[in-house]
Amino acid sequence: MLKYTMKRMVLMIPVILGITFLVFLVLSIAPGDPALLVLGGQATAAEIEQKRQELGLDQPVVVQYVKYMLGVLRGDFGTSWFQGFDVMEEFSHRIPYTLSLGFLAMMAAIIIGIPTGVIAAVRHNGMTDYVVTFLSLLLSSAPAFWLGMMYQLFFALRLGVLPASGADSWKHFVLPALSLAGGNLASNSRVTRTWLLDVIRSDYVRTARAKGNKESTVILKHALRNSLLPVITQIGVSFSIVMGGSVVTETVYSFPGIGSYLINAVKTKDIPIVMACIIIIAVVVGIINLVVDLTYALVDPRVQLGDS
Amino acid sequence: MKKHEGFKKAAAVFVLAGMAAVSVLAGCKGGGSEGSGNLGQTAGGQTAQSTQAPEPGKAEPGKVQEGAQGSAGGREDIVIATAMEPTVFFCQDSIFSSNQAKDSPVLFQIYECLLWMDENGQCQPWLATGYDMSDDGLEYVFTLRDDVYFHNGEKMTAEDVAFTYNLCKEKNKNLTTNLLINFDKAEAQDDTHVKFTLTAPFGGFPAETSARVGFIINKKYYDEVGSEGYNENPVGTGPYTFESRISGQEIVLKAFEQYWGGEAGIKTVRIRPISNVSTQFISLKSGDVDVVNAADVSSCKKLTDSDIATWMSVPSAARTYIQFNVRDNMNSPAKDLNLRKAIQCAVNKEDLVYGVLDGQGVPLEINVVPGYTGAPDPGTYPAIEYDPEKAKEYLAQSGYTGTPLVCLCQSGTDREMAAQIIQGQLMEVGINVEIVATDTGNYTASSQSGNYDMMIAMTSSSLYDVSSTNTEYRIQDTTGPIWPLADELDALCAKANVEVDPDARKALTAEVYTIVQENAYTVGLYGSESTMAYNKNLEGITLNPNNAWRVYNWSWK
Repeated sequence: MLKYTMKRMVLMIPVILGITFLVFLVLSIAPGDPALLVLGGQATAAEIEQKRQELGLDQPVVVQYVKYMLGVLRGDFGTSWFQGFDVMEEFSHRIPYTLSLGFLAMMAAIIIGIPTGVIAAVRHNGMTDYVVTFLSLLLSSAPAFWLGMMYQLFFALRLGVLPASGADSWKHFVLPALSLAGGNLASNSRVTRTWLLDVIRSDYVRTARAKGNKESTVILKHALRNSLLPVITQIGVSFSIVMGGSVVTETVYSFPGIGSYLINAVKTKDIPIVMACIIIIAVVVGIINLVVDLTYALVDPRVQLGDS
Repeated sequence: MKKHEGFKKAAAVFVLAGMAAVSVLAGCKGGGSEGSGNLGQTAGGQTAQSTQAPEPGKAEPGKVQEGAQGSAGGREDIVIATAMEPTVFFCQDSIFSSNQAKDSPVLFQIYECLLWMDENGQCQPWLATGYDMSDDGLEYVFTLRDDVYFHNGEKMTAEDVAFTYNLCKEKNKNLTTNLLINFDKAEAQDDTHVKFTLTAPFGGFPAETSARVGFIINKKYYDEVGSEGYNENPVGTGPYTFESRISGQEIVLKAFEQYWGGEAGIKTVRIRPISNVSTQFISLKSGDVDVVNAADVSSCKKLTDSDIATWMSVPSAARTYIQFNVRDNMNSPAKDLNLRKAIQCAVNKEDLVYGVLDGQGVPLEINVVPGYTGAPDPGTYPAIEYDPEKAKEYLAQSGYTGTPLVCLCQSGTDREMAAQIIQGQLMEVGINVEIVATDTGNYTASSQSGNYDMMIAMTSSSLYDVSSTNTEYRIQDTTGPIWPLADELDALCAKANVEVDPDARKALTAEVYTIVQENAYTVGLYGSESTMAYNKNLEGITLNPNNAWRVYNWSWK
């Protein structure tokens, strides 16, 4: 497994290089001269040219990219063109927030989503199943920003129990995490229900029941474990969605993560910030996918990682 | 086992039902306050809760504020929401791209200028107690207060003031071009007198000393830390010191004990970036924040008596206008004078004010806010009335073939909404418009390269002076001449900029706008308002046309 893990880690490098080069290229050829944006419309042509040289924009795109990536390897993500702050320093404040939010959202989606899926499957075609299915559909079809605004109106404005914005205490994490979890929670619930229903009808489950095992043992020990593989895949995909969704959720709740930072940077073509955000997101998503693959082997002994 | 299952069932139903119920209930109940609209709104577009003419603060800049000592109500802190995160705290160097709207919430608390622009756009004494102008208008001598200290304990002297301006000229050419017009140099005469020398007279010079370009910095501290160090840990003479900044979360300012006007009553100021308008107002109404800076007018108008917040607004320095592409080297349909005149007559500006600004603004006859110093008097230039029939006549005389005109604007702004309304108005007279709404980068690139037929632009004037509009009709280095009568316009604008006599300056500017109106180069649309929503228990709030304000003047009831 260690060999497999190392191999996967090495394979992440070309993926990240490919993604970052593509983003760098697109930002470079997109209309809008960053030097002009930094200096403003009244700047002279000479000043703009001087700024272009300062920012390295006078060099070919590939040279700019290589220089940037060499800096990244030394831990230097550059300086924001518009704010003048060191990007890495800014990120050291913001990354923990985004990762915490993503983690909490994933936990909420797992802790609530899987049990509700199990219950819906066990109570198949019963009232509980219908209610869970209906609510799952409702949550999966509600956009994160709308869900966020509804939570703000109810919990912050009407009840006054949770804050509508900021990130000062644990209370500030509750609503963003629930908003971000909404769609994934529903997906987890539905996938768990579907696969568990499939497994419950298997012969070995019938055999387990015939042997006189408790129903909870049959479901949780025999059936659920075998239906978890697709759920784990779903969780892996979910994390990518959570990282992407955090852009919207962080904006709605004014949460100081990298999502809201990325939006502003894209608008102003602040390439050092955009690139750093993309690299961070790509690495995190890559690692999570690796963890998901490794988890397969833990859950299902038939999966032998690296043997092929 | 059944009990166990029952628990799981109950838990699942409870959790999911709860989340869905919240969604539905919040949508229903919240809509009552957030989404119903028009509550308390009068026909005039103003609510009973709003304060159009704000009461002056208890302490004006330049006066010692006795009332600021201590705060009633027990609160000594305040939380202010801003749409954009202030990130630049040093304006004298172009390596930091400062922005009035974005950075002024912090800058105006920690720094001070020689003069302060009040809510009417008039300059009042601040760090300077007064000034004298030479007969030829080329020299200004400012007298400084003698009791002002920087946050690092250094006493402010004329040397610091001169250094501030000279440094800006050396290191921030863009800001110098816009906000230090005709400035040559500054020299300290003694500790309390500083002499400014201009290359040519400029009537709006005193206003320049009230803009962010003139935030006085400490020379000694700058020599120690340089521009980067200053931006990281700014030191000014203002009533608040810079305490901390957590990226994306908040900026904390603390009351400065040695402040020359007396220590501020509100001891801690927290400035939080909240970009989402809905979140701003939910936070305000739930008490999470106390003030929403540059608040959305539509949301302000939905505040009701039962809310804990109210709002106020004053005419701002910002103006929105149409600019046509009439460049020689472009093949735009807008080069047809009759087509431009048709558009000039077909735009109903009153409708724009109500449609875009909820009535909180003024239609502009020309591309100048009426309150600007040097603004020409009505009647001294041709005013174009809304007249769709006249527009059709002009259109019939034009060579317009029905090709949609490309209308450039910035997406997600009030200009995009204005473009949509104008599109409808022009369609009524037979002119087709294709709106191209882009982000800031694309907008700037397209406007510079002339990749449009008409453009909905917005510009402000930190000086609240007509010189900023004149700049638009001058020949720019980056674009070259963009008006067919560029030389004539450039000469007139240059003359207006150096004219010291106010009446003569107005007359020159009227000449500029006579040319602009007759040739329909631009169409002034509307002037907007600076708006602020705040907790009803706050007192002393004032705004100036540039949406600058000082927490020092505020107090809790």
